[in-house]
Amino acid sequence: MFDNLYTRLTEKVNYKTLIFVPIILSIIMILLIFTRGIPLGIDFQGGTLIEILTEKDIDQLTLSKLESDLMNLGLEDLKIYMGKDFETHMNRITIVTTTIVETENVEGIIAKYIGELRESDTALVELTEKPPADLKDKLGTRLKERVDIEFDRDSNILKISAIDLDKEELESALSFYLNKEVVVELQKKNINIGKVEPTLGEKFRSEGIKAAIIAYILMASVIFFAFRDFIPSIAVILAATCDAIIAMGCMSIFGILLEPASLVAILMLVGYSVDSDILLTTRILKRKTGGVNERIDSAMKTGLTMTGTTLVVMLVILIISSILTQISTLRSIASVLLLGLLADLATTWFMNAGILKWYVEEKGGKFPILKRKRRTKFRSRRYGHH
Amino acid sequence: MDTINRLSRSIRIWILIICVSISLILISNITAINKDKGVGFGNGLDYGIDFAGGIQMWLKLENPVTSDVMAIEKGILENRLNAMGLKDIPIYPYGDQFILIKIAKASPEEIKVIEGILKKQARFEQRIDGELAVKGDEISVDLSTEGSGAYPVGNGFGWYVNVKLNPDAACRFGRVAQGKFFGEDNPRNRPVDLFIDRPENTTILMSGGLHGILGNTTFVPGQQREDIYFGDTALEVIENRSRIPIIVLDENDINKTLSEFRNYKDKGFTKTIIAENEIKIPDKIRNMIEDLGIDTQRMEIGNKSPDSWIKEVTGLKTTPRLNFDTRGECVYNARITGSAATKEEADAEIKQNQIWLTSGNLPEKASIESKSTVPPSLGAQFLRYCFITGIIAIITVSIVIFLRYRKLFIVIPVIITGLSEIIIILGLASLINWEIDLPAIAGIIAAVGTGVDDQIVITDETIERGIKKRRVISLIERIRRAFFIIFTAAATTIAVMLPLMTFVAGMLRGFAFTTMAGVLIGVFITRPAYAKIIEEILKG
Repeated sequence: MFDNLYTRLTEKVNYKTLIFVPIILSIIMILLIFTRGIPLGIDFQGGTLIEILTEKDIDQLTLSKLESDLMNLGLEDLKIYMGKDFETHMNRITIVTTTIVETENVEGIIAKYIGELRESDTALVELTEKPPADLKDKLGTRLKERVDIEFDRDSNILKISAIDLDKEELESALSFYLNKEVVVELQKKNINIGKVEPTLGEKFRSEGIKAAIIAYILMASVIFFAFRDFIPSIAVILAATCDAIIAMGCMSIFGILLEPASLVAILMLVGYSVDSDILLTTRILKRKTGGVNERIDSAMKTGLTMTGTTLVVMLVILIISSILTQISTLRSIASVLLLGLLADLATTWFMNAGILKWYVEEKGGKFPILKRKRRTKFRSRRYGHH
Repeated sequence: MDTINRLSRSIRIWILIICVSISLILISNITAINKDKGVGFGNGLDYGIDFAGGIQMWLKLENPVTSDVMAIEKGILENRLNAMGLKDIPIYPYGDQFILIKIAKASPEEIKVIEGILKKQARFEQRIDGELAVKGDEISVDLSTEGSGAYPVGNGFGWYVNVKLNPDAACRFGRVAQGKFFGEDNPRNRPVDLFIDRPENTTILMSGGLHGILGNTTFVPGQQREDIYFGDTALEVIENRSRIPIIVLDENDINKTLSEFRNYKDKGFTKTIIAENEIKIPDKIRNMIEDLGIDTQRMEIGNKSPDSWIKEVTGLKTTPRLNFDTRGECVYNARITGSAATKEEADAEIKQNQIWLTSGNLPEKASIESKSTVPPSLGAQFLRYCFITGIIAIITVSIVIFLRYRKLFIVIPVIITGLSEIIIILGLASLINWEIDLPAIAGIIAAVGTGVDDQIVITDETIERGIKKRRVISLIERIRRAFFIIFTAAATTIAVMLPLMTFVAGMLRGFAFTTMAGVLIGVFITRPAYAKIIEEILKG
């Protein structure tokens, strides 16, 4: 189904025109990035991320009231999202701000709308007498977790808190140690507050950018070393650069946060981009038979399968992670790669293929390394394609 | 049949099979990589906070420090967390200013205590016969190279650490130490006891039996490595030198014991340490004491030697002997000396003493820059989701490959190779105890993704040869081009990942590591095997 794609394409559009499509797109994206900027995640900027789970139905009005209350606290770049938790089917409210908040102030405001907030799992048990003093240690060993215990003498209520409690496990452990059936009222943790101080964010960001720049330079060196030919090497590096720029432009357009996960995605994109470019370059320059178009057609068939498999995998991860699992790390990796790989189709097959075609047809380009080493073998054997 | 016969003679196939088998053994914990877990798929792996749950905190020091000072900061934090009973909390210094702390298990209360420890200084005290001589930030240690050193003495090594005292402490020390010196290296010279986080407002409850034993316990040369007693009994070390009152349980008249507790409570002693187990001091009594509004905590002496138990309970760290006469005058500079068998041991002692001496006055103040908590059940859920996502991804890849080639005998080897790659990456991670976290999973996706790409290249190159030239051509010739592509692509991927290995204490290291491992495993193990399989299948 992918037969002679490039030949058919260049019959309709001049191949030299195609070369400029990704380049123009990249220039537009650079302008976009500079004017709009790329939103930074809290890991890279510093700030507070608050996640709340609630069974209450939160309407738009409540949400905007909450937002204005929080704004009054002086929270900058405040964003509030609503979602569903796949596992518990509860509503999930995510609040992001670049301000480092005072936990108590913010919790006070949120509690007005949501109700009681708990930073850890809390279990309440009604007893008839004070539990043994070593219950804390015993429960800890049994539940393989450290727990806190508080007994209120007046109401005879035992309060157990820990990071993670399971109702059945706790009931069976308590029944065993207290020698009677007990019923536990378990309230799961419903608020999670994560903070990153701006200085730490700054450190992460500068380290991340430094690592990315070194990675880029190393990548370029390896390409030059492998091909030892200026134009094909530049073509590969240019394609990878355009891919990264277009992906970042898309992040700016769609508001995808620049965070460690999306930085990882950009680097993965460069890796995938280089893979298909190397395939293309090798096929065009190494083959001795057939026209350039035919060589590109054959490379395109392989290359599109390669990109195709990666694209569908990313699509699957994106769908699963945004609808079901809400693992934001995987979601941002998948969305950046998906957009970047779509761009890669243009950079590889419009631009890189075009540059190589021009290089071979008009500049008489060859593949010096392989040719030098294996000239005799190549002469004696003709490789074709179907 | 011929195809399978030929494959079974191929060394590449065997290498693949062996690697996958070893990896499965490692991942399933059959070799007991993780001793606390049983046999089960995935039990041989260490999981990061994303999957195992836990708390992660970043600390920032006020100013950048040298690596020596950083080691001391790390040592102080480790010492104090250990003293709290929170063992094995990993502390990773990062660069010259940041420290990452990972806590696997802690209760909400304990987290608050840990945060307190991280933010606050330790309570440092030097006491001579119970009299406070130096406290907290009154002492500073010269951390430069001149400030400490080790030198050969006889057949061992001597060492020293220089300290400076501020005027208050210098004069108090001079006063307190007066009359405690009896001549150079005289065994009667009194020790300068160094305490870190010595329990305040605390008493110790023990049975008459233990009290009797401790009253007769002192240093026996030859039996103990270290002397903390200096001629005193264990009881004297606790009561006089550490200033922690002991209450002896009166088994015949509990009320007498309780009234003693009441008296101490009136003087501000609101906590007690129970020195023995339930048989010696039953929970019933513990409950009665708690009813008085006194916090209880069991720190059983058990089978511990009295001196190590005393150190644990009182916070006593070290007891250097006073070796000069202060004559009651102020002492601004002092030198702590000791000896060790080897240079390494001497250096370790210097480090340990520097850690103790600076505990009350951290070289740089630390603040908590970031804190994140993942409940273990949520982590387990994440892991399950990743697994499901992986399975669905593999199915989609197989569908795409089937659509392209329309041949099951190509789809199956691609999937088997991909799965082998995942298994071998995990096996390697298990072998070297590399933590699996979300970035590591992303790395596995990246590695398997390039793996599938490479297999498509190999397949296409092989098919084309197969069609055009049905004569036998040597394998190397046939897929040389494919492998040029693969090696170059692998080299670029590794080049891109290498710088990430240095990035922020592991945030992206997990990703870079699994990607690189996957690419290398692909190039040297799985790709050659796949090429062989495809070649044989197309021949057959």
